[in-house]
Amino acid sequence: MSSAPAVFESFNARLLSLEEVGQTFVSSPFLPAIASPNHTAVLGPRGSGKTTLLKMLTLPALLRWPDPSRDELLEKMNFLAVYVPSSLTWNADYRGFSGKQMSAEASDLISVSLFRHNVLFALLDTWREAARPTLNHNKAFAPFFLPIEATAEADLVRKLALHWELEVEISTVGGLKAAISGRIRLLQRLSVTAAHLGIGLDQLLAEHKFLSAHFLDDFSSFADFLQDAYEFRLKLALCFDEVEIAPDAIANSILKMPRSIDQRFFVKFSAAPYVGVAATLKEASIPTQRQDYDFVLLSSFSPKETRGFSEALFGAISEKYKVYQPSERILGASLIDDASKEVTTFPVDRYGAKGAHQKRFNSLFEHDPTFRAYVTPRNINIDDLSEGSENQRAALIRKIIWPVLIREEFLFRQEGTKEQARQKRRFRSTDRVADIYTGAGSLFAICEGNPRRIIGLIEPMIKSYHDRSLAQKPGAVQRSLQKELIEEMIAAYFALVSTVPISGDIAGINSLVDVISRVGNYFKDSVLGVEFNPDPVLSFIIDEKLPPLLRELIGRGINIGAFVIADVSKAVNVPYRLGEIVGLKARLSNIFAPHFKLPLAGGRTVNLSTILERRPRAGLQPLLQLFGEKI
Amino acid sequence: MIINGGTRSYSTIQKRAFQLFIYGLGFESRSTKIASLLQPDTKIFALKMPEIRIHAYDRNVRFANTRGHAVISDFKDFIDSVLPTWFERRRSGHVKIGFDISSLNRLMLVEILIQLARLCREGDEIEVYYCPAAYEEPNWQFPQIEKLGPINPAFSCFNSDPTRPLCLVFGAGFEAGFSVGIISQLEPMLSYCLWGTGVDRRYDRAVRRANFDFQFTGFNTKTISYDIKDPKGAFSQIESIVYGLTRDYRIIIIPMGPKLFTFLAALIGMTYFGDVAVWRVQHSRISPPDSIPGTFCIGTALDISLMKEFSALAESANTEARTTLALGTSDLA
Repeated sequence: MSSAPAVFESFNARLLSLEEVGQTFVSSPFLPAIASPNHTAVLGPRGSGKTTLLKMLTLPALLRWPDPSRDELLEKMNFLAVYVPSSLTWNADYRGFSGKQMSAEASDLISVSLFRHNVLFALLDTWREAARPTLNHNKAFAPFFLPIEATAEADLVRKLALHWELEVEISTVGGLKAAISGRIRLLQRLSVTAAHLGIGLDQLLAEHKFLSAHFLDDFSSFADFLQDAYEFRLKLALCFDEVEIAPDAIANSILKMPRSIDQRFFVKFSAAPYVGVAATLKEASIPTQRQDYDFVLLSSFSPKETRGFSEALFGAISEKYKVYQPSERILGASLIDDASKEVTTFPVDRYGAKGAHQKRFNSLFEHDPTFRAYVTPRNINIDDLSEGSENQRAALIRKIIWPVLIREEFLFRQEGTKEQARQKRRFRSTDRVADIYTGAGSLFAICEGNPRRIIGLIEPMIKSYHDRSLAQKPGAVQRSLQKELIEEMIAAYFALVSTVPISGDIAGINSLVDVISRVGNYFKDSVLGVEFNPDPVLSFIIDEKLPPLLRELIGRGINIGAFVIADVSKAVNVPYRLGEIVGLKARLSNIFAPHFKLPLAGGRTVNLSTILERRPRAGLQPLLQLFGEKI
Repeated sequence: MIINGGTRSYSTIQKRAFQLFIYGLGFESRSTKIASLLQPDTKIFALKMPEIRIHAYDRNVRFANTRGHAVISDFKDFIDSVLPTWFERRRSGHVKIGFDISSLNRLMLVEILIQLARLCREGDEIEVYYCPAAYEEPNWQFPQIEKLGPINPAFSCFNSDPTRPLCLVFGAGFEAGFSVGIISQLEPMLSYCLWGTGVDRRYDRAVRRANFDFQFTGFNTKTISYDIKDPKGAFSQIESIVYGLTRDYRIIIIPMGPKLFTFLAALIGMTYFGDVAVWRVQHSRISPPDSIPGTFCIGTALDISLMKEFSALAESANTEARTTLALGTSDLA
């Protein structure tokens, strides 16, 4: 019961050991940037692989990573990584209970001290991991080897305990760990009693001197210790995970660390893209791209950019089931696959007389008078889209593929006579998730390179393919199963979104689900409106007209992955400042596309305030509207 | 913690001779159901819930006033003063206390249980009642979670091992997407979803539906049903799960679903004082539904000696806290 979940059964690297992360790591294009000898901020929404990437910097993970590029990476790493995991206990919200509350100062003090003791655990673990004899057997790892000889352990432990002002009952590494654990329990009790009894900062400090110690001093003393004991000259990379859940007092310290810590350290932290607390810092203290940190954004505005990684992860999961087939064989081809192949292998077929796109163009042309009105003056030969050069197709046809596909799929009845169909413009009563969202390309686009989504959504499909193969039922995974799993994922995602708290009263906005619904419906109307729109609105600017509380809510939406922002790390003219989201371009996550009937592609941009000014539809949120009788 | 429990017909309650009875006075029709059956010489405290004048609220308040119930508006005063005073002034001998949890909020429910554990004496009797509501179709909106955290200082797992991974034990209710959302937010290594069944199949279906057919894809979650009509059996079931987990996990119980589960969770919190957390989820309700009493209620007799053991542990923790912080006389629990 206590064993960790099997690899890939857990979608969350937090629950995996460092070794398990290393063993299953699928090479990410972001790793070299994160492993570079700089202060680094790894920004990404939930499930984007932040924790995995930070854990990959540690010795146990690298030791187990069976990749030929590993030693080359290690050679460039002139630091020993100290991975500091996040903990719910840091967060005062989760510690506080109804009724009496601790003063903010006392609460911060407890939070920082809890964090500090987590840091001590991390330093201790790093030291212990660096003592593994196997490190010394590998040339690439040897510089990181810090042996703990049995005869020297007690002396070393006493030195560390002295540095950290801990009383150890037994002078072993285990004894030191027990002392830290005891401190955390004491802090937990202090947290409860101080809140309940209304104990203030002064009294806490008077009774417990250790509360005033700061983790920055612990880092320095640890570096001193390594220098004294081992003449260790490499740097230490302090890798803080999930800074967004840390209380402000801790997050502030981490964000400002590059300016306050000495040259023996690199600071690397992971956080959701919107680090709200950064915006509360003094103007000059706000961490800025390149000046303080190198920002690495793990999400991509264009799903195409993530296809390579998605395929690699797909391959790794398939291997687990001993399935060695390309994704399109297992999941079937999608319309995206059709579209992308147009450029490479099938330059004519998709647009030829029997091509998938050709049929859809024809069908829409027949049913949608506004589409006919758009096509006719542009001299597009609707009977042969392959006509003309590639450039002409790109200009005229490829740019409207998605609006055409979506309108054709959803807008017009295909039952009855053609005349009836022309007269009755209404949403087709298709399944809750349409076929156009199934198949390899669409599924990868929905997952947007987010490892947790890929594992969660696609692994059951690979398993099904495997099981069917064993049962002698060859063929791609059924579309019905794909649609069912997509539905489940969307429902669970909406449930997650509904846990995002809304701070204060925001005029007319009830929740993040509400914002998503309004944006999604606006986009939907842009694609499926009365008139054919060749360039529908599918993204928005987080503009200045939005009230601060709403911006905060949008920030939380970005963090949870509901909105995807453009890559801030590539901002050229004005370096991106952490926590600043006004002016950023964003779109809805593709996970919502099947629900709102949206293209899996980008589109025109308008201000978010313009979208939210529009009167919302009545009864937008009911679960029954989302998934009918299914759930 | 539970001596016996099961369904009770309303007619049997009329025969119970309580010296003290406590219930929540709110807008639900079931709020006054059991109180209306009590013998006239019973001392009855009606704890006024926040004034939401919908459904049966006005009728319930009129009822409490005309029957001479002591209507309590200041809950803190009730806990700190009114209830202790009643116990101080009680006549010698044992008392029988009735406690209807049906329409109380979860915070009050837990506080009262803790206080009763402290004030009761060996030989006293405590019976807890719960009226399952008659079925009404849920509104299927995603509720907005406003706050999540320990329900009470005593149930904040202040003594648990910080290095252990998190395990959630939660009761499943018919709030759409609630449990999925909370698991996704807290990301435990392991979860147990406890599904109360047996009252009405339509409720069972609604709970299944609101919890996406218990498909917690991506999370290591085990779903186990318990019989709402058998609180003793349900307690044993949950207690044995928690017992098996305490060695390896940091356990948080999140009592969603029927109030009865909150009651059971509080008893588990008492049993594993300091080691198991009981949390509360505060969420928005745009239009809270009425709860009409069903055809029966559920009654449970508590084991006073075990309640007193919890109380002694809490007192010991208080003493330690006072020593640690050189404090006066306040209490942890």
